[in-house]
Amino acid sequence: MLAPRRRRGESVSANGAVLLEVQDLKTYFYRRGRFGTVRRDDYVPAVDGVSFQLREGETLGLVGESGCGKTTLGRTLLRLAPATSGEVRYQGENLLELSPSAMRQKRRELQMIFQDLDAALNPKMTVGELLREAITLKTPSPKQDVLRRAEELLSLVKLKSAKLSAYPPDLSGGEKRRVSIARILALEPKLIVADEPLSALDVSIAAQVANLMRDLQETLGLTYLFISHDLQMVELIAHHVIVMYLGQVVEMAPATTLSENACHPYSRLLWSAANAHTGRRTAESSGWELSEQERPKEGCRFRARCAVYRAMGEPSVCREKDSEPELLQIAPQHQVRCHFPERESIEV
Amino acid sequence: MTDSAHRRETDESILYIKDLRTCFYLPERGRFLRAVDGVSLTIKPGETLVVVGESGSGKSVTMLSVMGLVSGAPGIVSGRIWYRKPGDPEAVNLLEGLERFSRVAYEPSLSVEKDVRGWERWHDSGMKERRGRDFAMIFQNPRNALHPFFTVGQQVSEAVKRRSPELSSSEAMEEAEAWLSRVHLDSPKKRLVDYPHNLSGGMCQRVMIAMTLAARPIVLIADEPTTGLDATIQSRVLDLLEEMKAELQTTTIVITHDMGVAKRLADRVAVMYAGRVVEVGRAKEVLDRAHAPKHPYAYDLLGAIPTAEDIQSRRKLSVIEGDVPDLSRLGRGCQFVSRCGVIPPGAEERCREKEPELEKVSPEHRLRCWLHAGEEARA
Repeated sequence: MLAPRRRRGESVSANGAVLLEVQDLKTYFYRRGRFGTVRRDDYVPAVDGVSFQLREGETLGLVGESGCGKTTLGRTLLRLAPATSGEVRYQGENLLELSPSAMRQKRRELQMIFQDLDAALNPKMTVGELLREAITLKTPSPKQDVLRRAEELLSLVKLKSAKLSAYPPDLSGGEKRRVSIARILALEPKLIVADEPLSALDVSIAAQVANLMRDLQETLGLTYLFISHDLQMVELIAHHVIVMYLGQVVEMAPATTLSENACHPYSRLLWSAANAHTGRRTAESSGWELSEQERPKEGCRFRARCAVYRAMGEPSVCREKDSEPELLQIAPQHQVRCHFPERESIEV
Repeated sequence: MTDSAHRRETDESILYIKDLRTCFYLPERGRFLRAVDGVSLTIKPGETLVVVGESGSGKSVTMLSVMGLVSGAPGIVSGRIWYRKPGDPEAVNLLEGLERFSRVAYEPSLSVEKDVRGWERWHDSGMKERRGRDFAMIFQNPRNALHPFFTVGQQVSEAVKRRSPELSSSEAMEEAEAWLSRVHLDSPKKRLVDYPHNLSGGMCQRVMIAMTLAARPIVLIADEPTTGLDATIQSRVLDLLEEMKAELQTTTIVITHDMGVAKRLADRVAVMYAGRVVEVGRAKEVLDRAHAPKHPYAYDLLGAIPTAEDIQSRRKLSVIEGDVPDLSRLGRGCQFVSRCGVIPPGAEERCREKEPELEKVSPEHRLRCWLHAGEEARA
C-alpha cells in the first residue's frame, strides 16, 4: 500500500520543515586545452553561487532562458553534474560529501523527471518490466506483489493496467510522461526534480499532467523543484519561484508576488514577453540573446540588455569591477539582485 | 457546390483549399493514416490565418500539401487547391490532374491507388516555379532547415537571386546582408560567412525568416515559428513577423499550438482536430472561450491554458480527458465523440454514427458539430 507520507490530520502546507538547503552552490565547466588538460582560467559558470531553501511539501519553480543554468542546477543537486563548490544539505546532510555508494542509496529519495520523454524509457522493455525494475530496486518482492504494486502505481498516475504490456513507442507523449512518473513513484521519493516535464506535451495533455503532479503532491506530500520556461505553468504549480540569469539567482519570491510585482528588470522582461500576446510589444531595447563575448565580464551581468541601466544613463555602479549587485531582501521572502530594484516606471 | 458559389470563393480568396486529403500508408499495420482528411479552408489576400491544434491534428501536413512538399506515400490523394495570384483573372488549381494519378475508394475501407513518382514529377514541374517566389515557408526546426555545408550568406543570397535572377553574386550578397540586419542579427557582415552551426537557435530562426522574406513571397507559411525559443526571443520573433507583414502585405498562414501566438497574430483562426477543421472564424470569435457557439474541442482546448484567474485562485486546470484518436483507425462519426463532454442525452448515436459537416453559424464563423448544425437556418 502506498501510504501518504504525512501523518493524519497534518495538512501539507508551505510551512513544512526545510528539506533541502543549498548554500553558495557553484558548477563550473572548464574548457580543455589541446591535450585534454583542464584550463583553470577558462570556464563557463553554469551555476554561480546559488543559495535557496526548499521546504517539505512545497514546489519551487525555476525559470530562465535556455543556457541560464537551470537544468545544470537541478542536475548538480542530485550529483548528476559535478559541483565545483558549495553545499547541498538534504535533511541536514551535505549530499556533496557523501560517498558514491551512500549517494546511490540517497537517490531513491531524490528523483528526477527528465526532459526527454523517449530517452527516459527503454524502448525494448514493456511498461510492466520498466515498473518492475523500479519496484524491485526499492523492495525485492515476489512476482505477485510486484504486479499488484505496478497496477497500483499505474492507477496512481491514472493509466489503465492494460498498458502494462505496451512498449514505450506505442504510447502517446502524455502516457510516456505518466509512466516515467510512475517509475519514479515506485521508489517513494521525497524530492522530485522535474526538468521541463510539460514542454514536450500538447496543451491539453500538459494540463492533465500538471493536474496529476499537483494531486500527487497533495496525496503523497511530495516536494518538487519544477524547472520550466512556461511562466504561466510555473505560476500555477509553484509556491516560490527563482528566476535565473547566467548562472545566478536574480530574483526569488513567492509565485504570486513575482507575477504581480517582479522587481528585477530581467524578470519583468520575461513576464512582459510572456504577456506579449495581450498586444503589447516588447520594447526595442530588450534585445535578442547575447553571444558569449558580449556578456559583461564584470559588474552586473544583465547590464547589456537592461532597460533600467540605459534609462538611468548607464550608472557606473552597474559597470564597476567590484560592484556586482548582491541578492538583497526587499520584502519578506522577496530577494532581488539589482542596484535599482524599484524603478518600475521604466518600461523594459 | 454551384458554379457561382465556387466563383465567389475563388474570387475572394488567394488560396482556397477544398476537401484536401493527404494519407500515409503504414505497412506494419496494413492501413492508411489519414493525416489530412477533408480539409477546406479559404485564405483571403493580406490576412493572417492561424491554424491551431495539437500535434497530429494535421495542421503541418495541410500546409506541406499546399507547398507540394509532402514526402511519403501516397501523400495527397484528393482535393483541390485554388490559387489566385493578385492581378490574375483566373484561379489555378495547384492539384490539377491529380485524378489521373490517384484513385481513391472509401468503401469498405479507405484504399488508394496512386502513381506517386508520376504525380511528383508532374506536380513538381508546376510548383518549382512557385516555391520560393509565390510561396515561402518558415520551417519548424530552423537548424534542420538550413543547409549545414553552406554559409548563411550563400543561403540567403540564393533566396535573393531566386526572386531577382538578374542580380550579380555580389549584389545578391549585399542584399542578403541588408536582410540579415532587417531581422536584427548583429554584425550581419560577419554572419554572412558563418555556418549554421555557429549560430544559436534563435539566430538560425532569424536567418530562416530573412531567407523567406528575401523572396518577398505572396503567401508566407510559418510552421511553429516560435516553438523551442526562449520567451523573450519568441516575443521578438512575433514582433518581426508583424513588422514584415505590415511592410510587405504578405498573406500569412501561421501554424501553432500556442494560443498566445494565435491571439497576437491572427485575423482569422482555424482549429484542427484529427485531420479536420472543426472550427474556423474571426480570431475574436474563435479564441474567446465565452463566445457562443463554440466547438466543444475548441472550448476545452482554451480551458487547458492557465489564465490569470486560474493562477490567482490556484485552481486546477480543466482538461480534456483521453487522448487524440488514432488517425489510422478513425470512426465514422464525429472524431471528438470519445472525449466530448457535452453530448446531449439521446444524441449519442447520431454523434457516433454520422460525421457533422463544417456548417456556417454566422457569416464568418463555421463549426463542425451536431449541437450547432442548422443554427444559421434556424436564426
